[in-house]
Amino acid sequence: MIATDATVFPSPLGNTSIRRMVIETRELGFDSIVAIGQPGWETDGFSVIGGLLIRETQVKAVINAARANSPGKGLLVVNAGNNSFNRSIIQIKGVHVIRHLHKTEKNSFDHIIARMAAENHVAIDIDLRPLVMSRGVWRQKTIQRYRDILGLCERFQFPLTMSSNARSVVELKSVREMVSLASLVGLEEPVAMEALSTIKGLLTPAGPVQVVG
Amino acid sequence: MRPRPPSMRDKRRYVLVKITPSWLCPETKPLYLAVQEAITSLYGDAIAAAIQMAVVYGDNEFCIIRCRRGCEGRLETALSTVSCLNEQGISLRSYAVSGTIHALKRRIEKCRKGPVPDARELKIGERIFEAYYFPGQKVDVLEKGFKSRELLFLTETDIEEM
Repeated sequence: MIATDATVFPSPLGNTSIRRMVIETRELGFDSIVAIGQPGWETDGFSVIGGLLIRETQVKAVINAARANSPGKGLLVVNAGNNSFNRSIIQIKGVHVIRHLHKTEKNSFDHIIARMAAENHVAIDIDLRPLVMSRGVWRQKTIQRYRDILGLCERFQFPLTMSSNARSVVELKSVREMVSLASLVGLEEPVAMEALSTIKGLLTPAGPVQVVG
Repeated sequence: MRPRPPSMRDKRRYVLVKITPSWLCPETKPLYLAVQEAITSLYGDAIAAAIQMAVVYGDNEFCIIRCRRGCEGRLETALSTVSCLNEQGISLRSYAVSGTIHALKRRIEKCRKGPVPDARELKIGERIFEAYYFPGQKVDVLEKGFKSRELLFLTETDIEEM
């Protein structure tokens, strides 16, 4: 099974060391994690994929980060913004994942951006943290947004990722928990399992056949 | 009042839940209130009533939660939305589902990796911490004090490197 938690925040961003995160996530059924602010490394068949998170709202900052992040070095994750920002960043080569769409305006992710995401092979992250942490209207709005994104995903087939966004051991979720939380937003088990295994495909996208040597 | 004959009783399912961090050792009542709140906020009063949740057994590291048969999936989803108990971060992970409490108690004995360890004193820089050493190199470190105690999840290697 290939399952990756698409965003975790080990120390100094969270209160759990990267080694502890590796032990815990392995016990929870994952075989890799994307650790924000950490270099990539491997241990006993478990991969830690280094992640770079861009919180800037300027397109230029994203372009610079994408240039600095050489191919295969790590996963470039960008926080979503308004419609024009999303449309711009989705075309930047080197951007792998766009997250936090639930925090943006409803028109920030439309059918045009969805089609562009599918063409450029940029994944949209389903962050499960708001489903766990928030209550009432905020959780309802998040579920509504995710359902809207999944509707577009069915139509345009852009890649999805799922993340716990954990900053601590207690915030980590097992594969089973992630699948059951995803069912709240209408993501069926096979689709959820596929979303958990998307990351490796983003880092090594399928290209045309090349003659080597 | 005479108890109902078995054929007329509601069918129940019991969910074995692992509590993280295991040194927290919560009592069953606050646990019940946290799970009930999670179910009600996620599914509403009508479904919460249908689930008929109850915490029937509480150990330090594990607890057993009862629900109506067919509702265990919803209960497990609601359990993963419990994030704090008495202002302390907590995680409730479902481990197994069974039709009897007895089977789950046997499962607890198999899953348990030893008793909850006693806290050992650990000094990091100028600060004093309580350290709980678990099997598999895991160390939970909790700052000593009364206000805003820092909690760290480390490994033995991390502590050696400090």
